[in-house]
Amino acid sequence: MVLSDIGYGALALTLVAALWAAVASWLGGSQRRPAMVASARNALFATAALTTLSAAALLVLLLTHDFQVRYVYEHVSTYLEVEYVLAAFWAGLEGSQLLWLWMLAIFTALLLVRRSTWDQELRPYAMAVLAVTQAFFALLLMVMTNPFELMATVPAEGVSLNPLLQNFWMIIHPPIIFAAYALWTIPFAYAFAALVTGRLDAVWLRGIRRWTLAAWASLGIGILIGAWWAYLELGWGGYWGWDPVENSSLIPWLVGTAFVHSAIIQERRDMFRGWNVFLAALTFVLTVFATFVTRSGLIQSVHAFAQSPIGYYYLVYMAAVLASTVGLMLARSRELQGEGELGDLLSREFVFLVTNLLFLGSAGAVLLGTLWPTFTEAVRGVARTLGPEDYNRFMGPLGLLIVLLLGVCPLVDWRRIDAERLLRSMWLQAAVAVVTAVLLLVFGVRETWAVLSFAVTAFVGATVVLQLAQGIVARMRSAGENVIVATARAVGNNRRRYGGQIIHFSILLIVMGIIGSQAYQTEVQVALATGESVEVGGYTLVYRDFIYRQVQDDGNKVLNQAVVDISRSGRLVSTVRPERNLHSNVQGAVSEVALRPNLKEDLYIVLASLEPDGLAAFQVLITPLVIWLWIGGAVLILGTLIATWPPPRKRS
Amino acid sequence: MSSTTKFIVGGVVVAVVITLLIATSFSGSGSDYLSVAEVRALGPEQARDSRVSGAIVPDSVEWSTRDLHLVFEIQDETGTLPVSYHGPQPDMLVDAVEAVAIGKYDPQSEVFEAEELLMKCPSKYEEKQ
Repeated sequence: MVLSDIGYGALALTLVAALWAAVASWLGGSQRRPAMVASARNALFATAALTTLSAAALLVLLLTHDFQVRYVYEHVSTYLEVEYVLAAFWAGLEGSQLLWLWMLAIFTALLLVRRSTWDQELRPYAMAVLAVTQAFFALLLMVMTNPFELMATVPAEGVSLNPLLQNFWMIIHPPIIFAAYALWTIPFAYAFAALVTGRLDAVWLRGIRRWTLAAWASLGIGILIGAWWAYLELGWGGYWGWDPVENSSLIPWLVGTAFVHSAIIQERRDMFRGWNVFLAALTFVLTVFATFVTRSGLIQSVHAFAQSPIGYYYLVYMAAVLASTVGLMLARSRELQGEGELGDLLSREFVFLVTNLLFLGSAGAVLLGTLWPTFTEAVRGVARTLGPEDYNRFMGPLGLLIVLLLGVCPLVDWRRIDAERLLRSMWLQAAVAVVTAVLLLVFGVRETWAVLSFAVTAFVGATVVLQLAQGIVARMRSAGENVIVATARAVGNNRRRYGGQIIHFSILLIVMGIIGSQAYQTEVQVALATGESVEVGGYTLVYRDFIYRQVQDDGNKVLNQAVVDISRSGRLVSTVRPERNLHSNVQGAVSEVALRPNLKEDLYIVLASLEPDGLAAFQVLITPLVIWLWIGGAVLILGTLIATWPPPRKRS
Repeated sequence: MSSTTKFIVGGVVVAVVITLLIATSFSGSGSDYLSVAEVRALGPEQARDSRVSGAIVPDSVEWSTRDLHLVFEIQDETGTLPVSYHGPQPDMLVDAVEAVAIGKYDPQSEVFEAEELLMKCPSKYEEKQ
């Protein structure tokens, strides 16, 4: 038996085991037969093992260059560096589907390792949902996107991986995105189980809180890493182009963010029961939609993925998920009535509701923008596409409102706002905002929206810092602890609260990076002969030399490199080498940008062309504050870790 | 008025405001996707950006490193169109590849002045045809 048969056979067995798990767990739950639920649990452990076997088979086939397997032929070659074999694993549709299924099976198994405690009643139905989703993917992999398909002949060499995909980012970006998509199945599975059992109080939300946060944070980090990748590799100096493929991962993140926040309201005040169930289902459906967008060919995208009818299978699955969720919600309308009474219209509850609407509005607007060419073509015969500036026109104000509420919300009381107390608690932040605005004006910033955005960010930043400091200062006073001990203990005892505030702080850093980079990018395009120089934003760039060389051992690459000295006020600070290379397996030139980042701004140099006599065209970009996007991402990971870290065991 | 009604009314008001904001930014924005013939039919009063795509006509690409100026022709089933672009050459610009140009058509010079160029290279993310 050959390895490709083992991989395919493991998929077939996964399908059988997942179907059995779905039936057995559902019947076991509804007929109260624990033995059947236990059997389903074992079947789901089996799918984790089987999908691991299948993924391992594909990996070995890729590593051993078994070119008879079509997927291997299309994605690797004998000269592809071994670390990019991982990137090749998920570079194509078939491999990425297998990755998704594998992740889902692994997370399902991790969820089930612990015996049920709080979720005795819910778990069988959640297992059924997870099992059906696994079966769906396994079936698609077997009939539509088989990564183990063999070709009639055995080619001597493979096509190899596109050079644009041969980088560190392609190794880590897709697994994080697919891990996030797989993780979002778990909140949906429990929302569905809550609907089936009628246990619609906050128990399910509290029980899966860590999974939800893990899903939310991985999706956010995945999106940020995608932006970083675009920034470093694509050579246009931007990180987000509102392309359908980018949008399709942002939409579930926005809805998921709404869910994370309204879940808090249900936990605290027992409101928004139906809303939360619906948001969990919607987020999951939108993760499937993301794949639909890239694969159906319904939407024009420069990403130009290979298209496949698989998109329509996704459409059917999405419709089934939404229809069954809404159907059950109608059947459970009585249980969906929460017991929490609503507070005053001016209350923290209402602020949360407005935040929710803003997130959903943003998601809806991005979705509409993504589908706009398809709609307009259907209605008026001519497709109309929105450009980045069109998206910024509505996402700018919506985003700024969300950020403002992030700063106001902690100051507002549950049930009813005490206006006097609110004003009293805001004066310091307001002062910080005013000082920020004045300073910006003094330093020559003139764009109204930039001043306004930075002032709002400063206001909210002051709120978050004050909130963080309050508990720490209180400990230092009452217990006489020093700063470090007080911080460690305050955070340790209140992980959820401090984690949340650190996450909010990280969002502010990211917002700061977005405003700075959008407002003040400087661009210079210049042609230089060797020895000539150009001044850009306080930097002097000297084009010193160029290198033209054939590289045989690296996929037959022609290296075109310029050597540029960067100096500031007469002092040499760095020598960089932007490239514009030719590769044997891709048509046209591929740029490798040179980047010199610092906390204030990034200097970004693209070699636009290089003539045989050394005449070179450069595009030089100076983008302020862009590095804070990535720093914000790191802080976001830290905040999520703190918020989800298990509490210390209680001493008996 | 009960709290629930107040919440629903308040929520609806906020939702309507958000929808209006989005609707006003959608109306009139964006660029129309036109064929080469449709672009050529545009009069001088058409100020709106449009986007047009077509295969790059072989041997039509002229690039000046000195001026960072790119001129080439694209072709679809309705005709050919000269495109002019100031800026760095996009990656993977080669004959016969599908290019998307976003910008304005100048009926006098009969040249499409592109502000943005995208290469729809089929092998950009996958090696499939």
